Amino acid sequence: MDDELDGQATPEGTLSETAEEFQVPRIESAQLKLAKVAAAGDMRATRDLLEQVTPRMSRSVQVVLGYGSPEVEDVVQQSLIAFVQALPSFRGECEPVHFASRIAVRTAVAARKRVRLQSQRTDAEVDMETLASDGAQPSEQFRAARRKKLVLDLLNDIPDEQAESIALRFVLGWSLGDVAKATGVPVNTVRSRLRLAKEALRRRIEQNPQMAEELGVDA
Amino acid sequence: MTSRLHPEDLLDRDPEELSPNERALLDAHLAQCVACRLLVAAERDFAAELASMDVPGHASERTAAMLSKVGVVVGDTELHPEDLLEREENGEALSAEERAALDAHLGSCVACRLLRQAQLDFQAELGPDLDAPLPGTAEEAEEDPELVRLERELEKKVIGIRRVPVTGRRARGRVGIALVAAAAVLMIASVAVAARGTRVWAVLFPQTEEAPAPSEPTEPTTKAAPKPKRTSKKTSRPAPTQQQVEAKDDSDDSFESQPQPQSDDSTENVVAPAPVPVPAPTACATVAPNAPPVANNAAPRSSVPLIFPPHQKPIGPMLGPYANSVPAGTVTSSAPSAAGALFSNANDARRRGDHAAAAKLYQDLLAQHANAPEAVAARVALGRMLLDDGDAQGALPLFDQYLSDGGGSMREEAMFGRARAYERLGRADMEREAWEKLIASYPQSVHTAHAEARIKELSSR
Repeated sequence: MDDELDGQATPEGTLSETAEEFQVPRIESAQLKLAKVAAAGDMRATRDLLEQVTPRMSRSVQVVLGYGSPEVEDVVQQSLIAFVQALPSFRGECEPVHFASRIAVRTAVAARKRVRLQSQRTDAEVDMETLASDGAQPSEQFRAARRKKLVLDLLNDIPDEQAESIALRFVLGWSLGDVAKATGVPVNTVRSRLRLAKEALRRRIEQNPQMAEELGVDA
Repeated sequence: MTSRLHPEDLLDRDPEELSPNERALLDAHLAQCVACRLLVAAERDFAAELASMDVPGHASERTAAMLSKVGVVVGDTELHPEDLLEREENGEALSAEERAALDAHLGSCVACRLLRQAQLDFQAELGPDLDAPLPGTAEEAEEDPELVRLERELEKKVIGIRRVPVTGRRARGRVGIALVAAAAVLMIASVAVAARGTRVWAVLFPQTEEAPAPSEPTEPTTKAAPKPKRTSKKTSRPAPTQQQVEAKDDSDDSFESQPQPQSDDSTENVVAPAPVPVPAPTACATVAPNAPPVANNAAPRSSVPLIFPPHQKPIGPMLGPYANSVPAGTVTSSAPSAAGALFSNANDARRRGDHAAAAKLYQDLLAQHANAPEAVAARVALGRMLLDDGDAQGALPLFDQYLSDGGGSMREEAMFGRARAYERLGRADMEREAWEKLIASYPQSVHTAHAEARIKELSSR
C-alpha cells in the first residue's frame, strides 16, 4: 500500500517517500513543501513563506509582549529575520508556521527578560502582588488583564525552556503534542517543564493570600 | 555473572532479590569500596527526600519501587493532569472518573486554575484566526494618518544599499550573509507593502511599469495547526525607541504617528531595546523585487532601493550604517495637502513652545478638515497639549471624540489622556473606570503602573 501511495499527488500536497521510521507515508502540506524550497535558498519561496507566517508571528509577539509594548515591532522584525536565517536548519518535523511561531515566542520572551532587567535597574516598578484589595469587585476585564499579566511576568523569571513551554501551551493555546514537536523534545519533557513552571506560579500566587480571589481563580 | 570493578548489576537490584552468593559478593565489594557505600546511602537519602515532595507520576520503575518502600505510592496520575486539561479544552467528553479527578485537582491547584482561565483570556485577545492578514489593508490605509505621514516621508527618504566589488571565497561568503540579511529586509518590507496594495508601491517604485499584484490567497496550512481564535484587537502604535527618534530627520514629527513619551508625573518603563545585531557586510547588493531567485554566492545584476515597511516604524537600526543613504533622484516628492500643511504648522508651533498658535492651527484644522486623517491625529495632539497646559476640561472632549470614532494608532494615548483629564477634574468614579479600561485594553502599557497606583488610591478613599 505504501508503494502505491508514494509519489501520488493529493489536494494537500505531494506524498513524500515513506520514512523508514514511520509505518505510514507522510503527507506534506503545501506550506511544508514551500518551506523546503525556501530552505534551499529560493528567494521567491522565502517571500511567499514569510507572507504566510508573518501574521501569526506578529500576533504571537504581540500577545507575549503585550499590546502597546514599545518592543513589539522591533521584536517582530527580529523574529522574521531569525526565521529566515533558521530556515536551512528546519527539518520539517512540524509545520513551518509552528516553527515560526516558536521562534517568535522565544524572541519575545527574551525581549521581555531584557526589558525587565533594564527596567529593574532604572525604575521602581509597582509590584502587583503588593496591591491590596479593598473589597470592591473589580471588573472581569480588569481581572483578565491581571491574570494575563501574572502569567507573562512569570515568563521573565523562569528558565527559557519552561517559559517557552508555558507560552506555547497557555498563551498560544497549543496542545502538548504541538509543543513537543515544535520544541523537539518528548511530550514528557514538556510535561516536566510545565510542572516546574506551575510550581513557580503557585509559589508566586501563594505569596499573597488574597491574590487568587482578586484574580477570580479562588477555589 | 562476571566480576567487575563495581558490580553495577548487583547494586541495581533489590538486595532482597539477590541469591546468597550474589549477596556475599555485593557485601564483600561494599566492605572495601567507600564510593559505592556512599552512593548506596545517598540513594536512600534522595528517596526519603522525594517522599516528602510531590512526585510526578512519570517516575521510573526503579524510583517507583524505591519510593514504595518508604510509603510513597506513585500512580498513573500526573501531578498536573495535562492530558485531562487538554481534552477538556478540546471539548472532549470525560468519563465520570476523569471528570472527578480533574475537578479534584483543580480544586486544589491554584496554578492550573489560573492558567486555565488565563488561556481563555489570551484566546480572547488573539482572536479566532491567527493567520488572518494583519490590520492595515488598502481600505484602511486611506484613513490612517500614520500611513499618510509615512508615505510623505518615503517620498523624501528612501533606503538604499549599494553594491561594492568583492573578491575571494570568504568575501563571497560575507556577501552571502549580507544578501540573506538584505533579502530578509526586502521581503519583510515588500510583504508589508503588498499588504497595503499597489498605492504605496507606485509611490516608491515609480520606474516600474506596473505594480505587482497583491499576493494570492495561499492554500490552507496543515490540519494539525492550533485551533482558530476570535478576531484580535487592533494594536496601538508603540512609542518610538531612542534609536528611531535619532534616525529621523528634522522634518519628521514623531507625535503625528506615535504616542509621545508620557507626561511628567507618570511612571514610565519605556526602555530602548537592544540594537538588533546586523551582519557587517563587506559587500552589499540591491535586489529587484521581481528578479529571479538569486543564489547566495551570486551577485545580482539589477538594483532598486529598499524601502521602509509603510505601516511599521522605520527599520533604520536593522540597516546599520546604511540607514541614511539616499539614492539621488529616486523618488519625486508631492505637494502637501491643505490639511497636511495646517497639521505640520501646528506641530511646528507646538514643538517651539508657541502653544497658543498651535492650538489655533489645530482648531482651524478640525473646523476646516474635520474628516481628514490629520484631523483625527490632531484631536490627540491638541488634547495632550491642553492637558499639559492645565486645561483638562478642554482636553476631555477631544479624547472622547477620538475614541468614539473608533480610535486609531493613538488609542492607548487617548485613553491615558482621558483618564488623566478625569483625574485633573476630580471625577473619581469616571477616572477609576477610565484607568481600568486602559489596563484591560493594554495590560502591558507603560501607563499600567500609574493606573494601578491611581486605582489603589481611589479605592482607599
